Amino acid sequence: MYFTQNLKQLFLKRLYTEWRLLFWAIIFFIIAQCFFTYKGIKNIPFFLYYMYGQAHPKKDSINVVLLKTKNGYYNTKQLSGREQEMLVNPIGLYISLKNTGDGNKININNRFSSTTTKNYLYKMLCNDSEAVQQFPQWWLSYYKQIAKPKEDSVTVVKSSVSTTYPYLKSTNDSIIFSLKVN
Amino acid sequence: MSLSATTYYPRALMARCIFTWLLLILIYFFFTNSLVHQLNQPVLKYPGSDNTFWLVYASGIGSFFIENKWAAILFDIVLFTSCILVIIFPQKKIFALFSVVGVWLLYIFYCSTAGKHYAQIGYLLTPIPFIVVNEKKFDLLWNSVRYWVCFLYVFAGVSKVWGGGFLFDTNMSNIIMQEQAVGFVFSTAGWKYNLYHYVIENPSIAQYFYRAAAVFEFACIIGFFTKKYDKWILLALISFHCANLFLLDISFVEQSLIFAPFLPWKKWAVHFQHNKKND
Repeated sequence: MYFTQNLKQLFLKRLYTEWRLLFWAIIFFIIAQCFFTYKGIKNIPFFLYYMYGQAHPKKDSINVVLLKTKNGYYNTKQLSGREQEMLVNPIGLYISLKNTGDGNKININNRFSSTTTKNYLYKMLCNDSEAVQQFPQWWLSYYKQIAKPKEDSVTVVKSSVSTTYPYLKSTNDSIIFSLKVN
Repeated sequence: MSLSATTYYPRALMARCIFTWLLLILIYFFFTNSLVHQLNQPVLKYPGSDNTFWLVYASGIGSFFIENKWAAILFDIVLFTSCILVIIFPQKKIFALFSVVGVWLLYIFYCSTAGKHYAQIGYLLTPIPFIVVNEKKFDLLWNSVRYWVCFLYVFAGVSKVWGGGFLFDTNMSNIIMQEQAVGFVFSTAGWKYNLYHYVIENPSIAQYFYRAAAVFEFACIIGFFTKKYDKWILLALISFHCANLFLLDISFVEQSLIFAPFLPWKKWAVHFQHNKKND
């Protein structure tokens, strides 16, 4: 009883009749969504919605980033998902910036030829060496805010966890950076 | 005209409910330290190759709000206030517009700082229809959001087959191992550990979950043709996200707003009006 005759029609058909601009917008979104997913290009509002769609082959070990304190490793799993992401994910970006520089410069060079435009975009979109240098201090401020650590230092390390039961962590830790908390 | 005779969605009632829901999500962001001012003026940015991210940073909007403490605080205040104002004045579309622009910018700031595009986008899509007040246009936009949510989940279901995950026998156990690796450093006992251990060591069982998820997602295709089965689509979506939460630790607080287009708003509006009359 809550549906009119109109709603019994296919929605796109109704949209075509009643608001043609929105109809074409939806068609455009569907085509763009398929195109960007096929190309693997992240370009919101067209989200790459694979949701683990690709095959994930078995690995011998999984790389992990851990926070080492004098009282052992800090359990990041006790944080919310959003805090974990903000604390751990940028470390990967930091490592890649330190090792290979900002990959966005290549994107800018591929998209633009004018030197003025390129210089402007380098400034606005890329991370310079000063920003990379300041990262550990920013990271520390966020860590202190969410973890409220009692220890006086923290070391961010890269390690790995075996995928064979009992899923032990490797004894080797490679240090990314160490910081004094207080 | 009685509500039972109307053909359109009850916009004012929905605006109050949806923006209260959005406000709760923003409060959740506050308690999980992920509002703009709580990011502590991050020094690195990751716009990747995303054109929209580029636009936000190239225009200076990104740097202005992210690098300036007071601008970040102001941004969060405006976002919260606009959301509250929609609840109080649901017919004023300007507040809804501020909220919608605000949550999209918040998404961009958060993702460009964390260095990853997140798939939790329910809070971005569902408020969009409220930027119009015309009943007919709102009705069409709301239906479009419902259509788009169906499309995204059908798309995710198809991707699981097309991407090769559906037929890859150990896929789900490998995904769970990948997502729980850090957890195994800290936990070697308890029901969750036993659950993960069991599904990792029994890939065929884990893969049933994966295939069921793909079927649940693909089942949203029904939503293209009828609203008759919306409660079943809703149930499928809730089951899918609960399974994600238990097996992969993926919370769906932000995504929960995608459930809204499948709720019986017109029915509730009729009940609400009926009860009001009886009072």
